[in-house]
Amino acid sequence: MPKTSGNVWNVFKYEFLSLVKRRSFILSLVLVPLIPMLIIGGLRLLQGKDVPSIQEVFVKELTNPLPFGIVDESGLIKQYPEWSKMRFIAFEEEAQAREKTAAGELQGFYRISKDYLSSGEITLVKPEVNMVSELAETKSLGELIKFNLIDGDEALYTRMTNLMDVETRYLDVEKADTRDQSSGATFGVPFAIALFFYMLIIISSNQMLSAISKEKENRTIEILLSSTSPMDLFLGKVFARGAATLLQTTVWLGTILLVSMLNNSGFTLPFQLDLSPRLLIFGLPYFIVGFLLFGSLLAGMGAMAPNTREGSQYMMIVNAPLVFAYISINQIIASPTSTMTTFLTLFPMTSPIVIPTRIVIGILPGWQIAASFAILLITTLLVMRGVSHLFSSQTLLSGEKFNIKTFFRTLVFGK
Amino acid sequence: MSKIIVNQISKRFGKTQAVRDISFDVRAGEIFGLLGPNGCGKTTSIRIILDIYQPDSGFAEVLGGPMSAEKKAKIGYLPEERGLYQDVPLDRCLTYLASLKGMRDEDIKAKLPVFLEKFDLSAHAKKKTKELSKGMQQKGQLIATLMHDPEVIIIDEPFTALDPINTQLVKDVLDEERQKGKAIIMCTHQMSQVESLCDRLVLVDQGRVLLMGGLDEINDRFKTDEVLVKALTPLPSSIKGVKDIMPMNGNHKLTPEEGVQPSQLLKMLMEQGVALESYKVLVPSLDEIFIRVVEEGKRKDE
Repeated sequence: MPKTSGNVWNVFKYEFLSLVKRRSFILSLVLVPLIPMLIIGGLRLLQGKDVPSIQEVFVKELTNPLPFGIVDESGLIKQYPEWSKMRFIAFEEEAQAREKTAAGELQGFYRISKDYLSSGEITLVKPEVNMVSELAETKSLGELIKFNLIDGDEALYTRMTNLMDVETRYLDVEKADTRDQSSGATFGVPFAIALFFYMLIIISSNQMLSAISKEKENRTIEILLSSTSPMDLFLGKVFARGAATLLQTTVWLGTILLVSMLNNSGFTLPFQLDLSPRLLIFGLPYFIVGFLLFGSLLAGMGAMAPNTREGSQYMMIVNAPLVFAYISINQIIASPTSTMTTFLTLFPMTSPIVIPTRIVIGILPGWQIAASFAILLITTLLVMRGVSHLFSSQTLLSGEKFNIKTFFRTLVFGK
Repeated sequence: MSKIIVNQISKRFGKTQAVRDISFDVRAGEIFGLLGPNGCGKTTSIRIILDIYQPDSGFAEVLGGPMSAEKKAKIGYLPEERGLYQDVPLDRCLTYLASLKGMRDEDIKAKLPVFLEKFDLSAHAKKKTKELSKGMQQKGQLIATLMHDPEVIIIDEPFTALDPINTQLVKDVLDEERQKGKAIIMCTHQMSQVESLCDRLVLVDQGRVLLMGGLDEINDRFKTDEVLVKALTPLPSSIKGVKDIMPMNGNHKLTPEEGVQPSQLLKMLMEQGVALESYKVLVPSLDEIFIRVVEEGKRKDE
């Protein structure tokens, strides 16, 4: 591997400070967590202190607390159970229900036709559209009709609404996927973690390409090469971008944790985020090494390409495995022990997002973590060694067109 | 003592032979002109000296041996392709470039204001480079070249974009550096600057050396015995000792006969009663020598 000339720290310091002092970086650091917090905070102020969760903040905006009227011409609805009394008011005459709706005392009213049992015809009369409350109340009306179709038999209705109570028993609890299939968090949290790591690695590493090719475009590269070695430039830039991304991530994660802590004071996230120490312990090295792997490959492309535009055309070749892993996340979540999941766990160009996702899923044998990290680390070191050959002065100062064959040949064989 | 030794370096890029067996040396306390037409191999030679390129054969030594990281810090380089970070304030850009040359923060803080003042850029230190005029950017680049007090200075077209006042400023600075014993390589197409600054020069074309030597030595080598005279009275149609008389912008160019030196010719003119207002031995300009040597080189190739 080509030698450094002791300027890695100087390059790192300049690049890191240049990055974090950029207005766009500061804005993204502050605004990304601040905007949702301001929106939620603003809604809380408008809604008062009774709003218990983020979901409810939005649902409350959309739902209407007013009841619906029911004009039952069929004579089917004879009983109104307790749960329906807050939602529905019975009216003998349609005119009365219409009058109350016009006065704003009802959201609207349902008219159940005389021949409902044969035709199923029900008319909803209302002043304006509210999709959320309409869907909810139409479902409730359905439940009320079912209740009355069985003559208000509470026990039978309970069985109807809860047909079975299945208890699952596993042959081997240690090996089995025992996740709660009914919880939104089972799919939501791994998906969020996968998205987070995917965005983190792909955005930060893709910046490496422009960071290198920009030096060529603004012609500073020759001045830099007369003062320092290409390896110093490469390492300084890669570490600076990695550090800036880590800083950004820390601030964003800190904000998420802060929001989670505000749980007690009034609102919650849509699902419980499991930011367990295990995720942080394994997620951080996977991000760092994953970033070094993709960042190095794209820096190598930047070194070879005469300008950012030409290099960007080939970016997808490097990013493709990561994109594939991301679009396979549903499969990974659904089948965390499948052969494909194991392959993506061990494959170094997909493991940086698959491992954190599987840690959150909770089904990940220790040997797979050890093997995938070893493979990732060795691959990254080999790639960095290969990229160091691309970081020759001759390549950096050359204005030749980017050639993908030469790129991979230099990466693998060094020339 | 030679600070730079270039010995028989050759470099090929694909089918193009950029440099072919070039040799020269640059001594302490001299300004050495590296001259040649565009694409002649000057920049490749400089990049080999700076260890940016490796030669296919031959070698370049700087400060007594091969290039090293420590030696890079003792070299000031102003490349032909100017490059400062456009979106960064000038002082931050210069601080970074100085740090890569091994300068400590406190030294940069002490020296940068002095250089900014010297190059009349103090008022523009906080401006982004892209907000500065080309001449100011050029002076900023010169600060980056000189601030770390290099032992060897390599400057490619240092007078580009400079007005006459700033051109004189840069000439004075280069002269000052020469007085301090620095070895300076200067590439330029402005032959008047070469004539007024360089001690020695090498002329390169198509990757090879066509001409090398001290300025006086080259002038002597290319001088003719022709003289330019301005007569107070009309010149006779033939003059003893003169082979040819040619009118030239109100003057006359006299070509002496074989073996007649200009000093002898003056004596002969006086003896023949030719009254003269001025008498000047014709010395070809460096521009003329440059064109002549390059064209001769091309003719030889054909």
